[in-house]
Formats: sequence, structure tokens, C-alpha cells
Amino acid sequence: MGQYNIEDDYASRVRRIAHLLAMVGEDDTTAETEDVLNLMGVLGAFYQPDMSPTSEMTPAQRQLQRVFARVKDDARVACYYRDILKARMDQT
Amino acid sequence: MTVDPARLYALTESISKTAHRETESEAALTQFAQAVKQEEVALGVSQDRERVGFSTDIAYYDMLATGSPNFHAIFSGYVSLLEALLRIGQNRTGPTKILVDDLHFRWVVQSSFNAQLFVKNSIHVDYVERHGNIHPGTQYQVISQADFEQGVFPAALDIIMLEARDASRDEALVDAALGCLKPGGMLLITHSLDQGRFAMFGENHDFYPMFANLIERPNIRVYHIPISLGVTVVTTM
Repeated sequence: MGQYNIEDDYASRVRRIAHLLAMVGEDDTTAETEDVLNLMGVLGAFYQPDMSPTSEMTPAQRQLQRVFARVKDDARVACYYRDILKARMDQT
Repeated sequence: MTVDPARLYALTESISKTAHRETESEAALTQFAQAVKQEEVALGVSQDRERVGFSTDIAYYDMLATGSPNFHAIFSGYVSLLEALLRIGQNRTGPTKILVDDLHFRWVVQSSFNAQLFVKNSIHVDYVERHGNIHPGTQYQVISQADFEQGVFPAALDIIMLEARDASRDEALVDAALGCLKPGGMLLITHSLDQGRFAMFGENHDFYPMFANLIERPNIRVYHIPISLGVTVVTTM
């Protein structure tokens, strides 16, 4: 019991965000403060630059769409728990 | 004839005899999730759906906290499947060494396995420790996130539970997991249907390359169980 290490968990969330930024060629030094909506916008610009809602997708685009859904989900989870953990650490 | 999954799982759960249902009521599980959500909301972190989405981690507490009978039925059915697999894979001569998927940590800890448990350091473990009402003497070992990301796992494990999202992100993690299993050990890749999206996207799903590469490995068997949230069972020879 009581083995949870909040700093280690927080660091892993920040690493994840930094990795997502670096994957799309963005500055990963903003990982601690990057807003999730901005991050999803940056990821969207990389993975779906030419997509319009009515366009017919090629298999490659379909695959990119799937990857985009995954990294968007990763971004949400990482940012959400980064913010939760930061708020908890700021309280102590 | 269409089948209502929630009704089916509620029916089959009512005639199952599982440890996870004996040790915990739906009311207790709902209370646990509500305590987590209350804490998160009180921290002032936005719960706006555009920001949090519907991911497995966050949605898990959201859905449990609502006390939805359908969600409880489906989740309980999935846990029964995993519990059965753990029982099948358990060590018959001593404690079973299990690396537990952190999202399933709570019910594994409560299900009276004769086990030496390991789990990665995550907020889900913290929530279980503080809100999960587990026995104070419960023994388990936490692996740091840094070690987990590098695939530094305990040696000679009987069973590893690895979430599909983690496994697909880094195939080196799958290699590390298989390398840490005893001969005859078992890797369970959980949530492998990605809430139905694996079927929607097929070969374009980001889990597909992981599974396609997995079956190229020697000395293993791979069984996909496309039931409920999905689990892929990898047994080693």
C-alpha cells in the first residue's frame, strides 16, 4: 500500500506529450503547459492536412485517420492526467 | 435475431460464480468511481467532452460513476473473462507472478489469487489505494513508469496483462513482455477490440501491425477473443 509515486507518473505524462509533439516536428519543450485543444490541432494539421469531411479517403488516408484518432486519444489522456497530477502537486 | 449485449452479459453474470463479483458489489464499484470523479472535478480540471474525449481511461470512471446497469453488465462480463483466463494461467505449485494492467488492478487485488502482484505506477493504482477500500495488508509491487516504458519488467512472470494501446505503441514492449514470461507463461493483451473500432478499421487500425507482427514470432500461440472489450491471449511454449 502507498507505493504510488506522483512525480514519476507526472513525468511520464509529460514525456508522452513531448513525444507526440516531437513526432509531428513541433517544439517538445512546451509539453508541461501545452493545452490539449492546441495539441490536437497541431496533430490534426499533421495527420489530416488535406481532409475535408466529404472527400473519399484512400487506404493511406484511412490509415492516417486511424492514427490521428489514436494520437488524439493519447493526447487527451496524457494532458488530462498531467493536469490532474499538477493540480494535486500544487496543493501539497 | 439481434442480441442485446447488455442483457446477455447481465444474464450470464447472474449465473456465474466469480471472485470479482463475490468481493465487490456494483454499488461499491459505483461509489469508488464517484469518489474518483468528485476528486477530479474538485481539482478544477476541465471535464469538457471535447478536451477529455471518450478514452478508455477517463471514460472508465465516467461510466462506472453513472451506475449504468448496462455498463456494469458489460464491464463485469469482461472482467469475468479476464478472471477466467488468470485462473487458467495460474501457477499450480506456488504463487502466480502477475504483472497486472493498471486499469484492472482493483479487481485482481480483491479476487484472492495466490499471487505475487506487480503493477505499473499510475494514477489508477493511487485511486485504488485511496478510494478502493482494499485491505490494508494487501501486498503488491509497483514498477515505475520509467521502467515500464523501457520494458524493464520482473523476470519469470507467469502472466502479464498489457493494454493493447500500450502494446501497439511500442512493439519492443511486447518483446520485453514475452521475454519476461516463464516457459508456458501467458500474455493477455487487454481491450484489444478498441471498443469496436478494430472491426471498423480492420487492417487500417493501428493495432493491426502489432498483431500481424506478433504471429511471426516463433514459439508462441496467439488467440484473439473478440468478445466484449476483446482480449488477445499469447501463450509461450
